[in-house]
Amino acid sequence: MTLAFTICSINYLAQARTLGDSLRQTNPDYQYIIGLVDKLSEASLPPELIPVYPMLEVDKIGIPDFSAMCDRYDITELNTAVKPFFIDYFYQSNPDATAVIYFDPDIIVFQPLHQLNEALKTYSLVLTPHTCSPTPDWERPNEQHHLNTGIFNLGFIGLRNDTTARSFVDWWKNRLVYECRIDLCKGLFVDQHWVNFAPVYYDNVLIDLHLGYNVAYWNLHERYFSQDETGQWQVKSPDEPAKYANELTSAEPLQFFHYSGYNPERPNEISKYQTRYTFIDTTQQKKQRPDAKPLFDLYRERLLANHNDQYRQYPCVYIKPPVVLRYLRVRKLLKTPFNRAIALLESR
Amino acid sequence: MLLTICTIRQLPQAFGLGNSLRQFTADGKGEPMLIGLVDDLTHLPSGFVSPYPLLSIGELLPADQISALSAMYTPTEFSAACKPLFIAEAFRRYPEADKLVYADPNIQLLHSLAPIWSLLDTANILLTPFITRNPANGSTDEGWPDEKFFQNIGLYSSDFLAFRRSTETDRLLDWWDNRVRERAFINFCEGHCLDQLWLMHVPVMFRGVTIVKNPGWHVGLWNLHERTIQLRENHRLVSGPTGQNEPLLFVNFKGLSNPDEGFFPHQTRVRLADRPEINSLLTSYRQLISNDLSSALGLVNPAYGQQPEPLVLRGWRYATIKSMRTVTRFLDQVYIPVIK
Repeated sequence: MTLAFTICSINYLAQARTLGDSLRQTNPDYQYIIGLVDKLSEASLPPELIPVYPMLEVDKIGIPDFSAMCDRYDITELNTAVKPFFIDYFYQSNPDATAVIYFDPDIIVFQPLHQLNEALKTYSLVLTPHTCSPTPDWERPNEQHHLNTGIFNLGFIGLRNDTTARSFVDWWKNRLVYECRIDLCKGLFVDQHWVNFAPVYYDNVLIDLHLGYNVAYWNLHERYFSQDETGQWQVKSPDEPAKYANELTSAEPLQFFHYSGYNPERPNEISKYQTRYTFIDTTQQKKQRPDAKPLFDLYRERLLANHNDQYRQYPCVYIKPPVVLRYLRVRKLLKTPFNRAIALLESR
Repeated sequence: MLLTICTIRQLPQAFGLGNSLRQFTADGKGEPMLIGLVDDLTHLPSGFVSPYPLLSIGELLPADQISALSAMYTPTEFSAACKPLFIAEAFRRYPEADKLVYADPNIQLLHSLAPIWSLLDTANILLTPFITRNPANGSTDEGWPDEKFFQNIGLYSSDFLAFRRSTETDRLLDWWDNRVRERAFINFCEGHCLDQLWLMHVPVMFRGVTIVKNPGWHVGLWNLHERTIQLRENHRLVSGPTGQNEPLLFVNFKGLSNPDEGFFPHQTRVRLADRPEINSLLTSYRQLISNDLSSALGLVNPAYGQQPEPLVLRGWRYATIKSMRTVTRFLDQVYIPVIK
C-alpha cells in the first residue's frame, strides 16, 4: 500500500482537498492523509468544510517536546519542520505501507504515477530538482537561489519503507529539531536545504529528471505545455536550446504540477516568488507563457469550488505575533564599540 | 593527463604533484602533466626552468579581461574563476588525451591513476564529496565544521575533478566557465563560494556524473575524522563509512601543510597529535615539495587578485572576536520592553 500525505493548516484545506480529489481520480489505490498543523477543536468547522479525507493533527503524532518547537519556529518553519516527523509516524503506525509520498498541498496530480511507483520499488528515495538544466537568465529564481535554498524541491519526496529511507528520515528529523530556520548566511533554509546531503550520504537515491514531475515556476524555462487529442496535458522541453536536452525533446505526460506562490485572487500572476514570466504581457517587457495559463485557470476553479474563500478566514492556532525588534538605534549604539574593536582586530 | 592550477608561489607544490605522478607511471611512458599559471610569467626568478610545461593565464585571456578579473577578486577567487578555462584549454592542447584529472597543487598522488581512468571508461565526470557521513558525534556535538558549513562551501570539493572528453564535459565546462567568470566570490549570504558551490548543480544538470565516496580517494583534513589509514606490506589502506581497506589514492594537504590555507583553519574534529599516520604522510610530503627553488619562488607575491585575502586569526584575537560577536548578536536579539 502506498500512503500519500500533505501538511497544511486549516487556511490551506482548499488546496489539500484539491490535491486529494486529484489523487482519488488518478491514483485511487493511494491512501491519502492530511497532516494538519492546526487544531480542529478550536476551529469547529461547519460540516461542508470538513474534508472527506482523514486528517491527522500534528499534536497527535508524538513529536518530542513539540511545544518548545512551536516556540522556536515561525509558521513556515514549523510547517516544514514536522515533515519527517509525519513520515516517521506513518512508518510506525502503518507498517503495511510500502512507500510514503509527500506532496505540498498546492500540488495537483494529473496522471496515475506508474513510473514513480516502479521507482519506489527499487530506490529508497526519489527527489526532484528545481531545474534539470541551466536557468536562462538572472531573473528570479535562478541557479544562484537554488545554491542557497536547496537543489531539490521539497514540495515532493517519495520514500520507500526500508532501512535506508528510515535512516535518512531519522537524520532529517534530528536536523529539524533546532535547525529548520531560514538563515542563508549560515547555510540554513528550512527542511529543504538539508536534503542536498541525501545523494551524498546515501547510495540508493533517485534524482528523477522526468519533465512531468513537480512542474512549477522554477522550471517553466525548460517545460512547455500542450494538450493532446484526448485532453491529456503534455510537457515538452523547448526546441531551443536543443543542445541542452537532445534526449528530452519528445513530449511526456504531465504528472504533477506545483502551484507554488499562486493566488487565485490574482489569476494573472504565475507566482509571487518569480519575476521571469507572465501569462500575457501587452507591453511585451516580459517573456510570455500563455501555454501555462489554462493549467492555472483549472486550478483556480477547483480551489474556489473547494471553498478557498471560507478556509482563508481561519487563522492557524500555532501562529505567533511577529517579533518586532524595538530600539534599533539604541542597539546599534551599544554595538558600536564592539564592532570597532572587531574591525581593528581583523585588520592587518 | 594531469592538470593543476597555481601561482608562482605555489609552484613547489605543483612540482611535488607532478613528481608524485611520475612515481606511478610505468615504463617511463609519462602521463602528460600541465601547470596552469594564474600569475605573471615575467615574475619568475631569472634563469628559472620549469620541469613541467607551464601555460599562463596571459595566453588564455586578453590583458584587459585579466585586469578586470584581478580587480574584483582575491588571488584564491581569481584562480577559481580561471579553472574551467584551463581545463577546456588543456583538452584542446592535448588532443590525444581523452581523460583528464584536475588536482589542486596541494594534492599528492600515492597510487597510479589507473582506478580513476577506469571509472572514466563509463563516467563523464567524477566528483568527490568532502564528507560521506554526518560528522556529529551525538546530539550535543559542538565540533566544527558542522554539516551546515558544508552547505555554505558546497558538498563536492573542486580540488579534485576528473573528466572524460565528451560533449557532456564540453557542455559542463562552457556552463561552469560562464558562471565563475562573474561569480567566483566567497560570499555565503549570497550563495557564492568560488568555483566550488556551483558543482552542486552538476549531478542534476549533466549526464554521466559519478559521486565517488571511496575512502581511499581525496583524503584531507575535512574527512580524517571519518577515515583511518593503515600501513600493510608497504601499502596504505584506508577505511571509512563507505568502504574498508581501500588503497590510498591521493591526499590533499591543504590545511595540513599550511594550517592557514583552505576552509577549515579553525576545525576541531581532528587532533594531528593523535594521528601519527598523518604525521608520517605529512613529513614525506614536506620532503616532496622542498627543493632548491622553494625559497625563491615562495617570495613571489601573486600578480592577480587585487582584493585582500581574509586574515586567519588565531589565539587571543580569534577568541576575543568570537566572544564580541556573541555580545553583538545578543544586543541584536534581546527583548527590550517598551518604556512609556
